[in-house]
Amino acid sequence: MFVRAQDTIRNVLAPTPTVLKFLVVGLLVRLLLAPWTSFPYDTYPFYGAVVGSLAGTGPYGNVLFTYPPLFAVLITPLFMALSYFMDPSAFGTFVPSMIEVSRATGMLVPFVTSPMFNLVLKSPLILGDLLVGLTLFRTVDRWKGRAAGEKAFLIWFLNPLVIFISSVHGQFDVLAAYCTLLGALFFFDRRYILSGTLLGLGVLLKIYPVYIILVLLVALLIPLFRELREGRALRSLRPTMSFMFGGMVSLVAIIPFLLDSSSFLEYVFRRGTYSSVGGMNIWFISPLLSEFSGGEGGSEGGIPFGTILLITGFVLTLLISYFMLRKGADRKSLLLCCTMVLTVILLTQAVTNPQYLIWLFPFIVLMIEDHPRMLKKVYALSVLGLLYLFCLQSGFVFMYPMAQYIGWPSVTMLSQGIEAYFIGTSIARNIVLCSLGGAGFLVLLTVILPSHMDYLERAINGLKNWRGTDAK
Amino acid sequence: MRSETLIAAFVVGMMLCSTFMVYGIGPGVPDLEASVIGDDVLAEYSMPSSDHAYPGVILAVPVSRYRQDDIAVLMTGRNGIQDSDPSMVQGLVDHLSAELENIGSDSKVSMIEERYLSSYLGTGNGTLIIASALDPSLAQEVSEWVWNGGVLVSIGPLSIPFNGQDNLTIGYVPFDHDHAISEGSASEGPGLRMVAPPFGLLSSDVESCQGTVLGLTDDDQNVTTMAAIPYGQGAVLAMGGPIKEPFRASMEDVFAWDLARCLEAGLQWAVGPLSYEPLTVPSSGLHDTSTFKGEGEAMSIAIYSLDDAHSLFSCVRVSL
Repeated sequence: MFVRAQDTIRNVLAPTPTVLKFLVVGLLVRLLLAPWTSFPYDTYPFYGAVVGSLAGTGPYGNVLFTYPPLFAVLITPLFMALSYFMDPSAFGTFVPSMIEVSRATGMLVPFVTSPMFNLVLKSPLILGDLLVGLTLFRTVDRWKGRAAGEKAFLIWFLNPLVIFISSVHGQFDVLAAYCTLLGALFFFDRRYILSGTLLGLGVLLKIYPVYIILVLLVALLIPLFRELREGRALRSLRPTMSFMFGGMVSLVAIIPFLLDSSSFLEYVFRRGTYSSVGGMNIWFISPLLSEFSGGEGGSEGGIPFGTILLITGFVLTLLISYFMLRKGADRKSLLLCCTMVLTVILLTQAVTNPQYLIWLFPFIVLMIEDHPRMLKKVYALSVLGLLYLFCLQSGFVFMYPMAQYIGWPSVTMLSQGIEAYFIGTSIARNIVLCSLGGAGFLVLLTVILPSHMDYLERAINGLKNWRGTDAK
Repeated sequence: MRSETLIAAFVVGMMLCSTFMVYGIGPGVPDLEASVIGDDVLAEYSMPSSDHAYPGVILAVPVSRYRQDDIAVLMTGRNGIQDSDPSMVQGLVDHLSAELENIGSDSKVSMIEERYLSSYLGTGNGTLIIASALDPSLAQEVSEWVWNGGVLVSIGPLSIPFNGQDNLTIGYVPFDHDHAISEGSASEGPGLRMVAPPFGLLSSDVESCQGTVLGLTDDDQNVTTMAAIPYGQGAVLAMGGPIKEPFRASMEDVFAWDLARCLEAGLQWAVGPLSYEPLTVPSSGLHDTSTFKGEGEAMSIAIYSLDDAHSLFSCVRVSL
């Protein structure tokens, strides 16, 4: 029995010596970074969900956590267990000396969570990184062979942006990405109930897997309508019903929230309609425009701009899916369609923060063997995403737990550094952010362009040729 | 089949966790009773047990009357340096509704637009929160409504529409929070959380209006974050402001935390200084008494937890 368990663990965690080597290195880096770093502005809502649950008012009780409920449900048992050994008042510290810098940037909270809190919060995210990596390995191994599988694991698991988002920033996009990836893979294998359940669970973490659900629904509905029109037996009805049944099953996970109160739905849906725009998308120029217009942005009255973009996203998803899948939905066309849709959503949605690139990476990694040019997109987007995060408020913003709980560097030094960067650079900072956002937009755009129009590829090849000629 | 089993187990596990989070046993409720003994008020209280010790406070304040109203938050849509951003006003509605529910209040919170203010004022007494400048043509109407028994909660320098008229003049100056607060999970004193508004109220102006300083004060005791000012039959609960970043110091979360407890405790009707005793509730719970000097015609006594992992509150009134 023990030997069998050991074999199972070895098969899962160390399918090859190379994967094991990457896995150990990746885990060590993550576990070293996780306790001592955080992004206080994003960690505070998670802290709110945890203490609200401990207080008996639930994750939405203090209205700080406005994501769908599943991430709070996942982490609450961990923190309940931790609270037996650690006083919850030691989960974080209010730091008054951060008030001024927080007010100056508008993207900080003068509350720093403790190393133990950070480690427990990030442990499911690190596990998510690992699970996505192992899933990519197994899938690519099955499709393209062992060497390709190992490469896929390496590209994902040691990707600096992936490491940064989960282990430093502490955002849980990877968990939704894992559900989405698994949901799509089960769909490719025609296991529709599992696919629907996993994608449903993904939506209960972050809303974006709903776009993949639409893609896959279109893939199921096209043959169904064809059968209806031609008066043939409705063979596609069963997969469609199975997929939708799977989606309903996922709701069981949060059914008490749905039965208890609907107010959380209001907070969650309001998130999707915020009027702020910018990031690594078509709206990359907006921080600069906002600077020149005196910082007034957004739209008051009428239909919020965020809502318009949300509806546009749904319409684009349906159109792309229909045109790409109308002639058939095999594995390759489905994978391409999912990648296309996610890229178009990232390009057009109101805000595209670097962590959202995690939605796309697993699909791109799956495509690398058939489309080698995609590898360069992952590298370019990772570098640009990291630079964007560092330029938003300077890298100091991630070091507060270290400063507060180890004392080096000091909290004052970090705050002064951020203020100097944020206030001192003003327009220059916005120009840099717009440039990085614009570069990210241009690189993302090349993901959906056909290879003969891929200007990034041509530029890299041109550079290679020039260097080759120069060397001769 | 293994995948099906694993995913089914995960879904069921998450459902059990959700059930526990929504319907699980809370940390209990505090118990508070008060009686008059001679010139004093004796409060007998108990706070529930917990896995760890936690901080709390019991406070007493003389009040002129008590009335529990539903709360209306005014949305003016204005957004200047001294106004609260409309998104934060919306945030205040959400946070205040949640905080009132957390502490077991029956009061409801709604948002009204400026164009419907006159009809709201015509419906009788209530509690109105204004966090931005108001259309000047409505100032007199609001003044009369408060004078006849309404409660105005004003947040920030522009939010008392009749400031400077009818014997009510409150000056606002930038609030120096640097030396007023110390590091920790909760502030000192009665534990109010709004500790760093951009502007505070001049304490001397509050006193000259026969008001009571309730909030945090700066080092020189010249500027405060909150005060209750009687106005005719009504009252103004004036708070520093406007609502501005960051969370935890001067945003809607802390305004809501303070307002829920202050309004439930009836601090808007305060006619004398606050008395309070900090409590450390051991993990086994606390059963104790406190004695406060009786003042005025009635006193309001409230007990509540101060940490984030508890949301305990109880309040009673005694006539003297």
